[in-house]
Order: sequence, then structure tokens, then C-alpha cells
Amino acid sequence: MNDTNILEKWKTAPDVDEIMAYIRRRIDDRRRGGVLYEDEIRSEASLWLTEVLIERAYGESGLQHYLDTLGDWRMQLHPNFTTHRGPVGRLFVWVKKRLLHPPLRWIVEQVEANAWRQDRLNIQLLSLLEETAWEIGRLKSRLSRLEREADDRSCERPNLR
Amino acid sequence: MRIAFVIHRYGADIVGGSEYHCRRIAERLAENNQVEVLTTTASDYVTWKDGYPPGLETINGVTVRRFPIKSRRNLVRFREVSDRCFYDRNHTQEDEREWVRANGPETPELIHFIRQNKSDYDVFIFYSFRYYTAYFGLLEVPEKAILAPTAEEDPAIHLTIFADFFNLAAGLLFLTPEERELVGKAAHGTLPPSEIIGFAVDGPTDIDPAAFRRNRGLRGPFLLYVGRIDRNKGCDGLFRYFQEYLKRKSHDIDLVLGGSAALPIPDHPRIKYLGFLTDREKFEALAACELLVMPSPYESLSIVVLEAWKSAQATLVNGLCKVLRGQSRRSGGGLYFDNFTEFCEGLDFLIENPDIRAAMGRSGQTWLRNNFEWIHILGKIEALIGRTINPSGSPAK
Repeated sequence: MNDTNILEKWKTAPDVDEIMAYIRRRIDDRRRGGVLYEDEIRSEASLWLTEVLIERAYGESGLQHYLDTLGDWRMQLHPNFTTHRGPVGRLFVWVKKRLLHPPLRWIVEQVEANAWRQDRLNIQLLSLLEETAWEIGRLKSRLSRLEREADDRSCERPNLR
Repeated sequence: MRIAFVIHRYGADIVGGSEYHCRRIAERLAENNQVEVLTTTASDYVTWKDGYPPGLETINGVTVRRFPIKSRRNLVRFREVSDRCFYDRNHTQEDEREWVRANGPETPELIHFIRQNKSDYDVFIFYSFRYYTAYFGLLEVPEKAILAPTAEEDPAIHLTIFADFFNLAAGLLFLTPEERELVGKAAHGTLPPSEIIGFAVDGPTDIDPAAFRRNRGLRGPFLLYVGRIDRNKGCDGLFRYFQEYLKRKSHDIDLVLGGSAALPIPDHPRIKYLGFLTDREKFEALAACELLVMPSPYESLSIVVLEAWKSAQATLVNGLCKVLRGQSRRSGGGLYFDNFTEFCEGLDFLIENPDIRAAMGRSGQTWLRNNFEWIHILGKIEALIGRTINPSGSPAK
């Protein structure tokens, strides 16, 4: 069955295994023909290296935990104080609401603009960190390719010793 | 029948996968049974921070009994115990039980309640094997217990205490065949009777995808991702793949993201972030997109993929996740990728062949209709209970 017939058949009865085999054949054909081969291999290597590097950076620094709980860092100016502990709880809520919260809110309002800027800066820094790891991945894959080429060239030269 | 569901968190506003699954099943079973949910006061899945008062309440017709948490999750202690259990070969089973306690949410009052009141219920359905509530709760009533492990490929399933634990329950409920295989490999001996139930998707009928496009300023074709925008969900990889893809392809296509972001989203003109989507907006986005992309490597059941098929849309998923790969192959609803080259080629194929893409979407929809309607799911659960637990509460094995 040629490509046109296969594609026609899948318009009514798509078969995932057959389509995946077709896609992988197309990739192999292009690779055998040398089309984009080097480029794709480099991208794969670079992406893989980046993933490894980022994984390591996140794992060692515990960054993932902070990213996962980013929502908890937002400051709430009007938190909802509730209790289910009876009169004692109500006393605590009153102390929090009337005595502790007003001065704290005043302080938070004073620093809110700076906190917002810090928040944006944190996000930018994390993007930068990711971008850096990405670039390191690229450079590492390029370096290993250059090293391989240099090795190949040195093998071609006569031994001078 | 008097059925108690036991789960670590429960609430109409809780969006976690197993919690949502539990709530929808409980609500459906409550139509013909006396259903009660035994849960905790926690709302936050990282720290188990309180979000609800203890005591009784009713949510969508289901009685919910909440128990207070002894202490929030101490992340430093949890990390220490995790390191011991997952990296130190000389750790003991007591260390592993300590891991379950540290994982939480630690609610001894809930366990005490089960011990004292087990005769008041015919069956207990426990959710998510890794949590304190399921592990210590099930040990109190194994003869009346049905366990929905919601297991994923991660180190916790290989802890030795769970190898016997899976066999203690009278019956098991799985979301997918892949999950059954995974638990089967982790357990000692033959598994108790089980059913694969999956999940039924209820979508709104009165949606307006054109209005959604207008309101959100979406003009051209787009790939859609919906869910938590997180590294654990593979979103960082998706961002890199998509940006690399755009560098080499001329397709006029955007990547549109919906959900809460725990990851910086790249500043790219073709990547558009919509923020949190309501249920209705989610189905409008699904109807308006070209296809749904799901890059997550760890899924025990991706509800949004099922929702895409419900909307007759094709999907492109991470093939490294056995569940997503298996679901795509069984349903015919989408393709999968194992690496960047397959991502590019698969995406090209789906964009360049709109008729095949539409046929895949329809195939997914038909598969969902034939296997995962509520009538199938509830029938399987009731059949499993009938097979494994008799009315007096002792196992019918």
C-alpha cells in the first residue's frame, strides 16, 4: 500500500501503532538521506544535556520545592481569620484581627511594591538560570563534538616522537 | 449499602486527580447508597495546611466527616526519612512506616473512628496507598476494604511494606491496565480481585468555542495544554520542544496554556498563557484547539486527556508515560512522542492531516463512550463489592 492509500485508510480507521510506525519510518528515511540528520542529533543531544543539567540544578538546590509552593508566598492583605475552637479560639481571632493584624498590614502595605518587584525579579532570575543551563547544554554538546573532531584529526597525523 | 470513602483531602474546590476522582464516584454512588466520606481538614497537598473545620458537612449530597490533622507535613523531616527509605538499603520496615507518617496527613482520630465504628459501614473504599489515611486506615478493616491505589511509577511503590499491603485489601480498583500491572509487580503473590474502572467525563453541553476565541484574543490555530504548569508535568520540556519546533517549521500555530503556573512561562509571541480556566472555559478551549498536548511523564490517569477525547479532539502525549501511551494505543485517540524528533514529526503529521486528526478525535470519543460511561464504572464497583465483601462484612473470597 502506498502512502496515499495508507493516509486515506486512516481518515476512517486510524490505527495508532501503524501511524507511529509510519512516523518512525519517515524519521529513519530522512536520517538515512542525511536530511537534517546532524542538526536533529545535535538538538536531541543538547536538549537531553539540558534536561540532565537542569534536573541536577533543581535536585541539589531544592528549587523544585520553592517553585511548587510559589502560590504560598503571595502576601494576603485581608486574610480570613476563623476558628472552630469555641470561646478561646474567638479570643485568639479577636487578638489577631484587632491587635496584631492592623500594624502588620500597615507594614506589608509599605513594602508591597518592593515585594512585587522582588517577586518579578525572582521569576526573571529563575528564567535566567534555566536559560543558562540550556546554553551550557548547547556548549557542552558543541565542545564534545569539537573534541571528537580534534581526536579524529590527531589520529590522522604521524606520531612525531 | 453503607459505603465509607477514606481519602486524604476532600472538597468541591480541590482539583487534585485522585481527590476529584473520589468525589465524583462518591457523588454518583450516593444516588443509590448511603455514602459517607471520612477525610481530614487539610486543603493544601504540600503542607496539609487546614482549610476546613473538623466535623460534619454535606457536599453535593454526600456527608463528609472531617478529622483534625495532628501536625502539618514537616518537609525537612519528610526529606530525611525519604532519603533513608529510598537511598539506604539497610533501612527497616519501621523506617518505611515512619515515611508514611511523615508523608501524612497524620490523623489518628480518623483511624480511631474507623476502629470504633467499622460495624456501621458495609464497605470502606480507601484512596491512594501512599498516604497515612489509606495505609493505617486499611490496616483497621482489611476484610471490608476496597483499595484504589492510584499508583504511579515512582519510588514509593517499591517500599517493602506495600508489597504485603496491596494483598490485604478485599478488592482493588484500578484506573488503567498499566496501574494494575505496576501494582501486580510490586505486590507479593497474586493480587486480590480487582476491576479497572477508569473515569467518566461529564462536560457542559452549552459551550461556545467561537466566543471563547474572541474573548481570549485567540485568532489562529493552537495546541492546548491544560493543567498545573509545572516541571513535574513536563511543561519545561514542552516549552523547549515547542520553541525548537518553531525554529525549524513554518506552521502557523500557537501553544496556549491554561492552569495555575508554578513555572516561569517563556516570553514568546507564540506561547499564550490564559491563567486558570473554569470547567466551561476548559471545554470551550478543548473544542477550539487543534489538539491537546500532554507532556507529563507521570500520570496514573490524565483526566484532561479523557476530556479532550470527550470533545472529539486528538491528543499528542508523552510516550514515556506508560499510562498515556497505553490509553492512546487502546483508544486510537492520539499519538505519542518519546523524544524531540518524534514530537516534531508527530505534530507535523497531525497538523498536516486534519482529516486523520479528526478521525482520531472521534475514535477517542467512541472509546470513551464504549468503556467509561458512569453506568459501566458504577456497575464494576458494585460488582467488585458484591464479589469480595458480603453483607456481614467478612470477605466473600
